[in-house]
Amino acid sequence: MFGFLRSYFSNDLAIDLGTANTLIYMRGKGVVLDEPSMVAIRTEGGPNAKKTIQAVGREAKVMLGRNPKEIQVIRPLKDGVIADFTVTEQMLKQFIKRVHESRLFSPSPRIIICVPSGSTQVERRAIRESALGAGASQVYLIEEPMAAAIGAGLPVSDATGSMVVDIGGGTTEVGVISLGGMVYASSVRVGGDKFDEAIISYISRNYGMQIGDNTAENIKKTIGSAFPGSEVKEMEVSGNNRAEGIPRKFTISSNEVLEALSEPLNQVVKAVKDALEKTPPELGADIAERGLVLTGGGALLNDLDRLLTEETGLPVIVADDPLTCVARGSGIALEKMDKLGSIFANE
Amino acid sequence: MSGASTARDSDLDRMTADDTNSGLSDDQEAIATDSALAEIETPSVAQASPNTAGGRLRAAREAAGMTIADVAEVLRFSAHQIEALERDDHAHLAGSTLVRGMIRGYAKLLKIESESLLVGLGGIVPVSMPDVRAPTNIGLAEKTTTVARVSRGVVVALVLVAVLFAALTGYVYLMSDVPPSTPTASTVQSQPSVAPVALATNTPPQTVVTDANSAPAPAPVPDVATNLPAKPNALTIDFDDLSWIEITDASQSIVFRGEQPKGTHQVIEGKAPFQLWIGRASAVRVTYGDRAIDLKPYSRENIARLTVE
Repeated sequence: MFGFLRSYFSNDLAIDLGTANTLIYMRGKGVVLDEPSMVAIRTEGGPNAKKTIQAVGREAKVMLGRNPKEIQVIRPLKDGVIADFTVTEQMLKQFIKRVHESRLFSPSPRIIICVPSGSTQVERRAIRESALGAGASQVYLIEEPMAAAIGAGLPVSDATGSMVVDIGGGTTEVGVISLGGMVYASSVRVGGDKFDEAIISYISRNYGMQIGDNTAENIKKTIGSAFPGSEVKEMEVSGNNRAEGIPRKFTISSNEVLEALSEPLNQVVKAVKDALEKTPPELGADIAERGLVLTGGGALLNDLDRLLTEETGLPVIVADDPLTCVARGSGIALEKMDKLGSIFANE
Repeated sequence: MSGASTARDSDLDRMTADDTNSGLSDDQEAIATDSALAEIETPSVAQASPNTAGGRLRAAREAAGMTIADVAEVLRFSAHQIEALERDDHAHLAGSTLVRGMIRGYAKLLKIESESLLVGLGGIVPVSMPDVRAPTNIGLAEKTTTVARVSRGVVVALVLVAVLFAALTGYVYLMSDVPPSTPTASTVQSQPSVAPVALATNTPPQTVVTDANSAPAPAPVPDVATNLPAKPNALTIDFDDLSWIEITDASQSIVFRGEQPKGTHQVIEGKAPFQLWIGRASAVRVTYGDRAIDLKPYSRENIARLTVE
């Protein structure tokens, strides 16, 4: 009730609700929030035990792996879709509150929110419901490859084929777009998280050391590489020696990380090849000329473009500021919401 | 195609070398070897200054000892696209995303820093810095129940309805009472105690008070009635019980007011229209001229307000 009144005082938002990071684009302001999709929840003791949110976003991420028993650090999204509905809703609510200055009315914006192209109806409904529960007056869904292509500046509405590969935290989205629609879209549940897991299990297997999620991510960002380069980088990391049970330091090289990442990277390559196989030849010719565009955090993995170039024989380019492509693309869709009807996805 | 491009590569290489050495004869020789191509290439090569992105990439490529074909082999862009990029001929490349992506990939291949090359190429959507604040406002982790949300809505709704109702009532009150309310309010406030005196001094010429207890009480009525044709504008008021009354005439001045005992018979003359305000309407009979006025339609909670003319 009176949503129209509250929405008058709220700015429209585009949200990239990602497995790893949540980005919020506000109409007329650009990307206003970029935080890890994490929530720290404290369970209070005593007779009236209740759960309170201790922190969201960056603060919660710092707590990850360092939390006492009563604080639980949750990543409410898994593989690009909602794993914990209530916590997702609360996280969204906190984020939406954070980008709205006014405290007089609880914000009730119109929201465009991204969904993985391969998500099921149930998963889409869950995302829509959580946004509504977080205070949205209306929710529009947009498929991630479409948002990524718009954000990368590709000519989505032209009669030319554009191919976008969005490697996020939980999923890799491959989309072929022409004339404002998706000609082909697929989504594999491999992303930055799987890269981290691969590094953790590699180190566990070969060094007998246990490392945390944040350390693994740090290794990936610092010396991670997708293609054997001429120079070998090394990095000193510390973890728990499983045999001795005490913390130890050791050195890992970029070639080892490459070996660790080969399995999840192969899945990404396979998804891209599958997409190319199913692309109509006319569009394939366009893609061969313009290249396929990498977006998402995964595009920052060193030499990933090189790997895809070698594997597909096609030019590969990395978009500007790949981390925010999806949020910016949804934001552009938001700005032109009233004109672009066809780009929105159905449940 | 590849053969042609290699030939052009060597031309380009030689020409750029000439640019640095400013040797004119070699340049002419180069044109002579493939005059048609050189005529196309020479002016644009001359335009590509070493300070632009294309010029710097070309210089770096030459320093690394690579040909355009080598670069095309690695990046998988066609040789003419690479050449267009080195000439800063962005019109032949499809869109700024492609140009920026190519520059980034090319720079990485040549191991030079790419961000300075991208400056001034016209970015895409501007990205503002994220506004990050500490999450001081921490709420409950439990879901807001539907009841709580609905009740908040109901409260807001009730407040709004109350405000609307108040506004509507005020409007109706003002619209119905604008003429009488202003003067009466002022007279009531200014001379509450003077009123009976004023009544006593002003009204006697216009009023005839008869004794309510005397038996021939109804007698004056036919008496007045007989007089009525002469005074058609006279108001006749009979009180069957104690009642309060206030009457104003056309000049908005109070002609009669006060609490009247049972049996009072009052005749009021003055200039119509009269405005009547009667406290106990059921106990009062009003006759205007020879027309009896039924107070019921004007009564609300036994208080009648009406205008007579």
